[in-house]
Amino acid sequence: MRILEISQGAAASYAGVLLTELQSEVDWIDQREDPSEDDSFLHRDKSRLKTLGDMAIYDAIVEDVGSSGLKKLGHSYAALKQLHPDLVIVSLSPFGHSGPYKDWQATDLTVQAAGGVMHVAGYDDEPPRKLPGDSAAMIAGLHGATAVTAAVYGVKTGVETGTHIDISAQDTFMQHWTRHVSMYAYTGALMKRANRETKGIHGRHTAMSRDGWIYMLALRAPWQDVAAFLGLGDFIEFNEDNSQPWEEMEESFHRAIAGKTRYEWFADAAEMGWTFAPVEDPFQIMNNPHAAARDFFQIREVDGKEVLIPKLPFRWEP
Amino acid sequence: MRVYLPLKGVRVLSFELAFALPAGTRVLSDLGAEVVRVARPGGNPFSRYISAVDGVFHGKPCVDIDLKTERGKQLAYELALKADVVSNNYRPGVLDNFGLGSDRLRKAKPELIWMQLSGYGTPGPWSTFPAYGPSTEAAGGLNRLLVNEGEVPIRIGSGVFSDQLSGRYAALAIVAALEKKRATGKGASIDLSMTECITHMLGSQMVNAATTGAVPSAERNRHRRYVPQGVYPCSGTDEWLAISICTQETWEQLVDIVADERLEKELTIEERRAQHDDIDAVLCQWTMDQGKNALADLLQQHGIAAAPVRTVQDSALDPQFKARGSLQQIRHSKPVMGYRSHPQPPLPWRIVGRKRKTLTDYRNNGRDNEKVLNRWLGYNATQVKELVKSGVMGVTQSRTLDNRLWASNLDDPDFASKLGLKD
Repeated sequence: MRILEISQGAAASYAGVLLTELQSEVDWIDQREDPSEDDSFLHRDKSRLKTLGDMAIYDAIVEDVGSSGLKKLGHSYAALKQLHPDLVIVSLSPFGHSGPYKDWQATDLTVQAAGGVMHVAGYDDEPPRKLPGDSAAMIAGLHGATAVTAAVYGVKTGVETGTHIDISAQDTFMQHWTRHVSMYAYTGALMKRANRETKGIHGRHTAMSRDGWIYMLALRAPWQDVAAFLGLGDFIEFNEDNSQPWEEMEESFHRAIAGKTRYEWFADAAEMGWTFAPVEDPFQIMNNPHAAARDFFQIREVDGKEVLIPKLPFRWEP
Repeated sequence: MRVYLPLKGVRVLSFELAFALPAGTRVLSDLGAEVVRVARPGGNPFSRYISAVDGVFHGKPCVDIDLKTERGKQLAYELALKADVVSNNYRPGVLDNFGLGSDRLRKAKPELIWMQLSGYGTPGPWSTFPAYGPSTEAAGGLNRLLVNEGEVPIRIGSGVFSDQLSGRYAALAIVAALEKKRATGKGASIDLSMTECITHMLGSQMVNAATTGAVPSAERNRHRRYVPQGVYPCSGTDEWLAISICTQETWEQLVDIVADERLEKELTIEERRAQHDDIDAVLCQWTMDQGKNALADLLQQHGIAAAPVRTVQDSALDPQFKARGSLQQIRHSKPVMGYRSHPQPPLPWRIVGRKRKTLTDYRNNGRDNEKVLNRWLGYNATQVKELVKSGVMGVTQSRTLDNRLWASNLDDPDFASKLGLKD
């Protein structure tokens, strides 16, 4: 596929980089307000164009500049469609091209807020917490890459013609807490942010192992089994109010968790069929044995320094 | 208006459980592919819950096959060879044990696209470790990047964030493989890791860490260039407004609107950054007795980026979602949890001048045994009945969710009237 990316933000840039990794040829018109700082993850392996050339060579355009941005480049959605009826145009924007919020000013924070997931992120004694970076734009970009690929496939197989697909980052972000929206719609149940002071181990807990954080998820496992596994056999009996004896147990709990490395807990829990996981920071991910076995990172030179950049999250054997 | 179906004619056979892969194949179904879900006869209550509430099984016909029987394995094999795509999110190796692994199927049909989705991906030392979405968020870097050094990493509250994300990458991988197959005639074996999906979404933070030699600071709700930026309390319980000031001009607009002498128009971005805590205190005082929706409207009228933080209660009522058809009423053949229809999100893309495929309700396990076996393999009703009689396929289940399951969860007793649900 030959793709034109016209981008001012992370959404179209991420769509472009995904398509590049999928072996598409991507030409890039850089419309950022401040093009002085490249993001080495988003702005790589694309041919940067100074001006637009023949639009008929492209299978698809993915853009996040909107109709006003296209106008600055001397184009419009209608004119492009007339010029090239099979052209696929995928527009990414914070709130979409229709509806009462279509002209709303936005940043990733406000889109995450309106998209909803934020309301359950963080603790209940503080404001809802934003996800890192431009997560809402990145997710919209992922949808953008899928929309481009599916639409071009439809055109090439003859079941569809060129189309204009309008993707709102608010819409795509909202999909990431559908379980809670649906639970409310089916049962009236509300979802709240976590309480900071959990008095016990309630199937989800993060604690410090000998060499880093371990996330402990043992859904539907009986407390007695979990306590025995963690070496807390002396605290199996519940309090009279049916709660775990947290005050008596807390010190022993932390000591027990610190007795093994995070990968030891991870592997031992897996033997039990439980879904513990190491809480990895970027450097731990870059150096962990699983990522190495999967050859997940590629080495690239950035500002004269060799750095690791994640490859696609799926391996593809022909 | 014609329905948009770019994947029309594509057949997908999906051995799927829980959430992540079903979320991905739902996208394929929404785009016109015929996605057949394979369940095991009998099923379990968890699967009924996923089916009805989560929406990821919607729009997919369902067959149930007992893969522990030789005839069941053979039947699944015959169906797989009629598919363009075979996908699964069983633990790695399980499908191979049923004779449905990539090697065997692609030897018989090289152009087949075969996908394995799992928590950590294969190969690798963690490939067979079990995982739910939240485990992969921890291993993929999300929990750590939400906090600073020394703080306990936290998870975001959505139980399905990673599942939905991985499902979307799975859809991209499969669609890209279909396009490649169209161009070259070649199939593919795809292995997807949910953990790597999280890491890839955080790619800019990963590269930032690699280039600076430090884990990026948790921004909380602040931003390097947008100052002030934050989430401020509003009237009501746990109601919030997000505000970002992106330019000097919008800062001056905000100062005029708030009209508090402690805020000065002349402050530069550097000065605002230095006084962020003080500015936040003034803004909190200003927002706390006002409604989040009205404030968002007011600020937007002045060109200021602001939005209400949506709760589960008001998400379904968001005017933008309503205008864009972001939630669709799914009609049930029999009331579910007491109501004849419920809202569910369809494909979250608006196709200009075209209709999106109408989302249909989930199908009970085995509901489509006869129809699918007839269409894909030419079996007649008698042959299917024989398979049911011999236990290879199940008897169609018509059980729906039990109202009593969540009786204790009725946090908002007025939810049905707010959403306009009809019994």
